[in-house]
Amino acid sequence: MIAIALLLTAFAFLWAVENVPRLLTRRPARWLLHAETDSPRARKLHRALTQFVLLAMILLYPLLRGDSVRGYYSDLLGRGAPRQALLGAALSIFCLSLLYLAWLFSDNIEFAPRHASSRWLRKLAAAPLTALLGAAVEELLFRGILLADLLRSLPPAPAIVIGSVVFALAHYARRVKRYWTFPGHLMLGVLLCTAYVRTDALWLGFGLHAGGITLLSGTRPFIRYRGPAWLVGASIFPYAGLAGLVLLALLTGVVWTRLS
Amino acid sequence: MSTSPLSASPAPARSGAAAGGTPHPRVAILCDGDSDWQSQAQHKLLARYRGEAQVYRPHEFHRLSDEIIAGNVQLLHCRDLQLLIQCLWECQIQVERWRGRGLHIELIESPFPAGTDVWPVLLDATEAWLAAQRAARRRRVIAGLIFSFIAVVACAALLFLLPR
Repeated sequence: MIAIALLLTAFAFLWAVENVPRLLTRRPARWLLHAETDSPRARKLHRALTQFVLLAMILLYPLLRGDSVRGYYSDLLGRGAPRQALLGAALSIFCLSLLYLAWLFSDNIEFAPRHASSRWLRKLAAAPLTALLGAAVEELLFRGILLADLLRSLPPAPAIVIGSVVFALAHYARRVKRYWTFPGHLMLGVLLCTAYVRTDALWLGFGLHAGGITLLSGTRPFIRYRGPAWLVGASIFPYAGLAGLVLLALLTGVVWTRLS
Repeated sequence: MSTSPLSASPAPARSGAAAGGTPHPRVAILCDGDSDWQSQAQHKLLARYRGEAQVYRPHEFHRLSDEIIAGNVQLLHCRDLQLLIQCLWECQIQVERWRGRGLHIELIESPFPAGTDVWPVLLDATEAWLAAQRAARRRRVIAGLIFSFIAVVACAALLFLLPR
């Protein structure tokens, strides 16, 4: 349970950095991170600090277990085959594309550039790198550290449940626009944890995750949602609507039964 | 159709956003960018209300609606019924709320005899708009469910064909 303690400590640290100055100046504390609406500079600083803390956790965990950083991650990344990442990316891109196609035909989304061409070109160019970095950090943290740690003391099913709940909750530790997307994050957590448990490696989950982010952030500048959010989701959360949740459940079934 | 006797004015055109005029105008003038009409009616009206009026173009209709609902705009000048209904549609139909704030509407090119109340016409338009929206939403949900089901079944069929 070192991983959960580490995650809670990290949250407490980030919370303290944001809220102790508030309490000292007699302003009320806020439960969620990045709840400050002060200056863009302060927000940037808090975000940079969050990235630093995530990296620190990834480096600190092996040391707390008495391993070397290099040894721990060599073992973790040495398991499974990197080509599983390609399969994962292909699966998530294929499934999401089919959903988008279904919604396009049924007039639930429309494709139209939402920004000037220079802006959407920038966003499109940044999508793959953002996806690779985001998926790498989250997979190392939530599967490579948290789930691996849970599996040392729990059977797979409860470890997957706890790992998924913590993964989903972590997406709401900071203030966000939408909270109804929680079941989507939970189901995504179940899929990614299942991928780790069944392959005993990070690669498949990393591919699923990175492929999904690439498609979502790559299409975001062009998609307008017209259908109800309960069915098709919204913004970068098409997997949080009913159809997306069913598809995530289906992918989990496929991973569980066919990709071990 | 009756047309108000409005003459051309040499004053330059200005819109609510660009003019930097009063932040909460009492009088609003709807404009759809028709240059002939703009150069006549709009400037005449702006001159008549002297700083109390602002011109709203289609991309500013939402802001106008906020001003009406806030109770600031009391009088709305509009060229014709078509433009008025377009404005209402852009603002997600706020007829009841507009009416509730005591807004008075003047149509410059009115298809009705002088003194006719335009609210019943607008309420009918509201009903039609809402009915169309409800029908479109229903169609979209049903089609969305069917197509999503097809997509999920197609995914399932293809994914379970994957070799183990």
